[in-house]
Amino acid sequence: MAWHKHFPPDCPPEDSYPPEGIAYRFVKNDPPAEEDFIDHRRKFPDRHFNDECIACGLSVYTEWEDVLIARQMVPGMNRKKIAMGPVEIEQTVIKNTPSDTLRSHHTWWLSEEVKVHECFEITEIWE
Amino acid sequence: MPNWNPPELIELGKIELIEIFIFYDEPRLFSCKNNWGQYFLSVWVEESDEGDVWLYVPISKVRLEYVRTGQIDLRTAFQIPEKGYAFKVITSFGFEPAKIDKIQGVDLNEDDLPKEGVTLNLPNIEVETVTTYDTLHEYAQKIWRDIIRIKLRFNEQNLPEAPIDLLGDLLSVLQDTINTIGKAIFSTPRGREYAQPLGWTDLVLVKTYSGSFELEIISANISDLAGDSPVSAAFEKLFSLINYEDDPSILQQMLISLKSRSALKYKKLLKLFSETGTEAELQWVSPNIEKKGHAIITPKSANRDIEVIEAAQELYPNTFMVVGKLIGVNIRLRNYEIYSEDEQKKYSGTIDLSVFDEINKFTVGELYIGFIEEVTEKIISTGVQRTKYILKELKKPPLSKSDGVETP
Repeated sequence: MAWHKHFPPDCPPEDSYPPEGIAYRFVKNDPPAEEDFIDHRRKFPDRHFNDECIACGLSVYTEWEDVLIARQMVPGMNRKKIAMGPVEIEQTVIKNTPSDTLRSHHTWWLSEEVKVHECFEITEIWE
Repeated sequence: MPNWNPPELIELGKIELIEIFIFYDEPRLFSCKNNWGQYFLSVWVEESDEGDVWLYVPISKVRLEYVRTGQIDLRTAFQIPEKGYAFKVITSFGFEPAKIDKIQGVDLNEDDLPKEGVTLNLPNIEVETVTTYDTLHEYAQKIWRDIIRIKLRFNEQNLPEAPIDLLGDLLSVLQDTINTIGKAIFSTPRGREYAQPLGWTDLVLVKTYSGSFELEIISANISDLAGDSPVSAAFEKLFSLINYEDDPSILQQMLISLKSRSALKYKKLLKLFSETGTEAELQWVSPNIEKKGHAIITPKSANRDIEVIEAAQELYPNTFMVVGKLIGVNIRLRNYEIYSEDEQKKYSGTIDLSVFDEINKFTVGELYIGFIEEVTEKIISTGVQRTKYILKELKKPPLSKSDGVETP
């Protein structure tokens, strides 16, 4: 796979795996646009990140419940739209990177060619 | 969860990340501290044209632990900051340094805060003891709840241990007493509670100290923006009952002003002390600096107060006192209406014949002290319970010295 050139060596991590199922991502645009799927390393090219590999991945949740909790706890996330789509996309890998609060947080690494925003659509928010 | 550098925030000091609660492309809800040891709770508010907007609220380690473990909800942590203020931080998308503004908690926009009642529920790491704080009051402000500390002596001995059965009874009766007093304060004469949800006077035991056996109890719910709560109101009343300054008539008046059930519960609490030879030193503080109390209950004082309560119960078995304006009398239906401005409640019901005979003496629109008897009847055919409020006595309030007449 042709990973983005800014990915550090050994990134994505060895224990990442081909994704399956669906995932949710907080986005600004309806329909989701490419800018909604830009990793932090590209978004903030001059910022220092302790974990470069995580900065090259995208956050997604695989559980709807976690999406709702995140919205309730973080006002910035509450202001975003929620896009839902399949993560089972070739040339991508994923890894479960949970916190104690939200167990379904995953980091998703995309290869250079893939345009995942086209596979995602805005979903209604049902609480 | 990854290591992550919080943005450079020069005015707030060098920030070091402590714990990420929500990570989404970067930490969105997290705790951190600066190089001067000040802890912050931080949350992402929005993405504006200028950059990402964050709230950083200075927080003590103890309060942060309460937030982590869900004993303080996230919104309260930001909206009622310990120091009164939070910092609104805008981190630019480019090279500009972060913009930082101090903002008062009360001025925060509702949409910039976590949703009401939402809590983290993480396992406890460590909680410092209150002894690390200057005063118990400071501690109450940190956790924004009432705190009551009870030092117990069993059979005149300072023991580092407590008999389970007695302790269990004591805690249970204390909770009952606070619930009942709370209900009496916040209910209408028809027994309906005033917008106070169930469990609003609940207490929780958080700690015991073994030197001389001491309990630390806090209110289960946080106080309002002014630092007041139903628990505060109930403790204020309880402490005034305990510290009635040796004038039995004052205690009787106070008990009459509450519902009879409160007197029964308070008597039960006192009996525990008198019958078991237990002494207690109670200290209560609330986040509101003006609300606090200190009291000592000994077996002897408990016995004396039980006698006063029993005498009051003989005098007025199910009666409570209301000070208010007589706003209506219906001679034909023998009904009355009294409005208490203090309580902002209207009391109404039947006038007892003993008062009715003298009804001409009273003037509508004037202030009186009314003694109202609560009588509950059960209608046998339907099984429905009905409570009546009978006006048993009506008298003019005593004139104060400022009116130029000696108080009787």
